[in-house]
Amino acid sequence: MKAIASIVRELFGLFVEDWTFAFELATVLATLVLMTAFSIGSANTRALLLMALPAMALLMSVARARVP
Amino acid sequence: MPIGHIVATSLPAFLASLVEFVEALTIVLAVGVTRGWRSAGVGTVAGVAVLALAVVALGPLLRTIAIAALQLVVGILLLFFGMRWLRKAILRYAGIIAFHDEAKIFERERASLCDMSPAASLDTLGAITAFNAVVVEGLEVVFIVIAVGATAGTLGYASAGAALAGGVVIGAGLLARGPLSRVPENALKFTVGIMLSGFGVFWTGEGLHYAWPGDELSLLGIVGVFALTALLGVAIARPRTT
Repeated sequence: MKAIASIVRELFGLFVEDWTFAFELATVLATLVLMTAFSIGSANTRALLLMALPAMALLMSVARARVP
Repeated sequence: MPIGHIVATSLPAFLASLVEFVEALTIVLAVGVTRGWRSAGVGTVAGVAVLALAVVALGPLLRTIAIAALQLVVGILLLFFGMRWLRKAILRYAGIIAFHDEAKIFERERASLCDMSPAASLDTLGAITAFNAVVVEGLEVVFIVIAVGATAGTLGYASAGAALAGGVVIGAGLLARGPLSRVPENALKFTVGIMLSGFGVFWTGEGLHYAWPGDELSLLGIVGVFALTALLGVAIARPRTT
């Protein structure tokens, strides 16, 4: 039970630490899954988005953390 | 059987398996240095056991397993873990949150571990991360061996090539374990966060059937992008001195 709780805590830790970042990340991934399912955009475009959008979300998250 | 035929089967199996084993080793080492070698070992052994059971029970039927779905799930999990670690590491280097006082943490952990049973001191998440990496990459090795060996009718030689690659990578991992343990924890977490995020993006893409340019080589590019992002993040988050 303790082990499961620790996994859930780690998994959802990002939502607790920065809800906006975790939500952005989840939204990016869900959007890319849908884009793939409906063949929206080329595979290269989607691969580029998969790499760039989480990186951008990370930068925005650390920029938000800097603001007092 | 002519020697050329044997080499033509075992060499591609060796090289292709080497790439997959190195990927698995990277994650296992990352887990070992940050979450403990015991967790990494337990996850690895459990992963190898599950793989061996699957191979014995299913054999060539394994090819029907939807590895893409597995890669997608593991990729998304790694991306969330990696991003969380990387975000924290960036904020530490930028001075937003306090650095780990490793000596103090060591003492606290040592005291708490003395009160715990060996089973309780196992880091479950670390073990699961290592287990996932070993299963995903191991399945890919199994597919390579079946693809290379079954079509040429030389499954034994392809398996030998893959086994040799596994031995080489395990040996390299054992050698790297000592030096890696001496790297400061904060630097390790920064690097591991970058690597886990990179692997997360790569496996999510594989799960979604994206054709990465250069296949596994693109991992270096993805990890490079995250490394640059992390350095930029430190610069952005660092408080300005006026």
